[in-house]
Amino acid sequence: MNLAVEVKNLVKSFGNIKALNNLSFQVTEGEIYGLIGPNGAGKTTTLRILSTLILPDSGSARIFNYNVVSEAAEVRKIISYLPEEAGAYKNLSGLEYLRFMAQFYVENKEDLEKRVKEAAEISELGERLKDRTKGYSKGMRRRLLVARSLMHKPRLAILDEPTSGLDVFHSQHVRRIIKKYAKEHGITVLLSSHNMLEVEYLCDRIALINKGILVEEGTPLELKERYSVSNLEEAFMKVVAHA
Amino acid sequence: MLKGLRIIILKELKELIRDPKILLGMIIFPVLMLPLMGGAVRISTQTAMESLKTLSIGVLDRDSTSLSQTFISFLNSFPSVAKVTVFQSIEEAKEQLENSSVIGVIEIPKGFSNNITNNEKGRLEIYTVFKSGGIYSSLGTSTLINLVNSFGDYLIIQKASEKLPGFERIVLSPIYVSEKTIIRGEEIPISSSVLSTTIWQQSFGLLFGPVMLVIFAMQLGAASTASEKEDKTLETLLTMPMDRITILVGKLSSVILASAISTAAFITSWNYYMTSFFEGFPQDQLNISLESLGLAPTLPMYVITGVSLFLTILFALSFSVLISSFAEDVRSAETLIGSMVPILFIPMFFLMFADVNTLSIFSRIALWLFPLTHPFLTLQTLFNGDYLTPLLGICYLAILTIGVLYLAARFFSTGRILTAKIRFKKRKAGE
Repeated sequence: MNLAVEVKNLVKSFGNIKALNNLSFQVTEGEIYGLIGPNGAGKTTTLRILSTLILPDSGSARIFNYNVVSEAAEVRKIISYLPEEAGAYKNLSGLEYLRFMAQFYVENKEDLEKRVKEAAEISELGERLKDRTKGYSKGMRRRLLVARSLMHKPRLAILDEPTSGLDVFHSQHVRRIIKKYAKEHGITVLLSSHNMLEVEYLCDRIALINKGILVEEGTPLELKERYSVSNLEEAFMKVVAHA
Repeated sequence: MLKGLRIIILKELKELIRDPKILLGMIIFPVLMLPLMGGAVRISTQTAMESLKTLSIGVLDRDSTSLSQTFISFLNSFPSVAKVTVFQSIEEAKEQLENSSVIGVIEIPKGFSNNITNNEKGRLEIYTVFKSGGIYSSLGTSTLINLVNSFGDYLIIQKASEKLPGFERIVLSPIYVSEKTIIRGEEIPISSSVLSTTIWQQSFGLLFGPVMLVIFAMQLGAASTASEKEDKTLETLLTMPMDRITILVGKLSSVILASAISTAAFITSWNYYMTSFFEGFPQDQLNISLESLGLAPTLPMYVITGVSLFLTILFALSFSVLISSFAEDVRSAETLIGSMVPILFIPMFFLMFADVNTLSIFSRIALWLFPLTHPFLTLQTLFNGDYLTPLLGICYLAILTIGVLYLAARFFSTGRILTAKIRFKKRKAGE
């Protein structure tokens, strides 16, 4: 299998705080890979580096063999990034927002309309897509943004806390979409989450991160067996305690 | 790059035009409010001027002498006085004053003529009715006083001329001034102050618009970048498959376009509003052809000033985008730029009224070092036939603008734009 993501000895500091400390992991193509860890573990920093938003201090990160620092332009063509606290342009309607974003990836009008239609279906927002996004609830906005991040079928979707702040119904909807879309279109997904239920439902493999270091990696089942626990939350607590 | 640029510009324009603050403050207000206010002023001025064109006044002549008759004939001779009604009693005069179009009554008391003849002051009484407190409601009263004063001047000349023939010419205006101005060695029979005013109106006045444009552009530029941060859309935008420089250029272009629309709307409306104050008033039209005097801006002058102006706008805009990149939200960006605008514009406004040639060399260098003064300095210097200094100024401005653009582009290209944070937050009670 091809490597979708290859992170080697990544280091990133903000002042005196070391956010990443020689972090290394690999994600294979078509996989849904989860980064799990407490607040400040370095999950968002990792995802931001992979999304070409910030530069690492040292180490390397490659996406489908493109270097995220020296080949950032190529990386941006094949990824989509959903930040944890993302918003939409409040003076545009949902449809206008999707059309604006889709334009960067399409070659002709026909393709554009196809992508927008597909995104509209993913979001399941119906007629509300014609309204300006400033009137959307948090759940509606997140569904719009998830649709935006999947509509152009990126080779790698980087999703930072995709269900952050959503209620049970909206969370389930978003999870279902991610899983369905990733499997149907062979999209590799790298996501971060606090929610162990979500991770267990979505991810093929997970990495547990604490203080910028990868402390454990495996499938949810492997981790539960390795630590003789019934759920990932307990496994995570044991790993962090050992670390 | 062009595709990305078009997408960004269209999105930015949509966002800017739909922003209620921008739509109301920068487009709707100037387009609707100023013409409406101007229209109201225009109508009230026209009404007042129309009423003065058919001025009807009354006279109560208790003196009944040849001088009082001369006064009545004098009033009748004024083109603006349509009708002079002679009343027989004060009661009749007051009744007509309140119930007819008569705007005022002048009473000539008994002994008026006698006093004038005996070199004493002649007294006249003026009666008017207060009907409203409008600005133009007092025009009738002031017109009556002007008529009486004119008659006073007429009497002075009459009496003095009896004693001293040619009094008006010798005493009232003994000196005749003929002003001549030398321009580039040539003598022209026009006052230099009149010339300055005309040049200002026809040339420098044109720079008022761009000054407004720079102010609008700085405000919009600041809001455009800061709103991306505030609305949490910047991170997503920066991961789109396009150059960061395209995002920056797209933002700058759309802001210049939106500012140009806003400025055009503002200037058109402002001109309409201001001219409404003078509607109907007779004005001395001083039509001086600057072209015939060789003082009109030539095509090269327009081109050089235009380039200087464009670079100034670009500099101001890039500067505001760069500064506002540090702000975490729109409010902080507006506070940052708002506090800088007065400082940035003081030298510019100074130059609107000062002649650069009268300043010391150090003051001139200081002004040239300041980027926002360049369009004014360029035009003033070009009028003196100096083309080298403005061209050097353009080179300096270009280097400075490229420097600021480079910094802004660097800021967009690295992660610093995401991490730079300046926030001006309202303190809550109890904090």
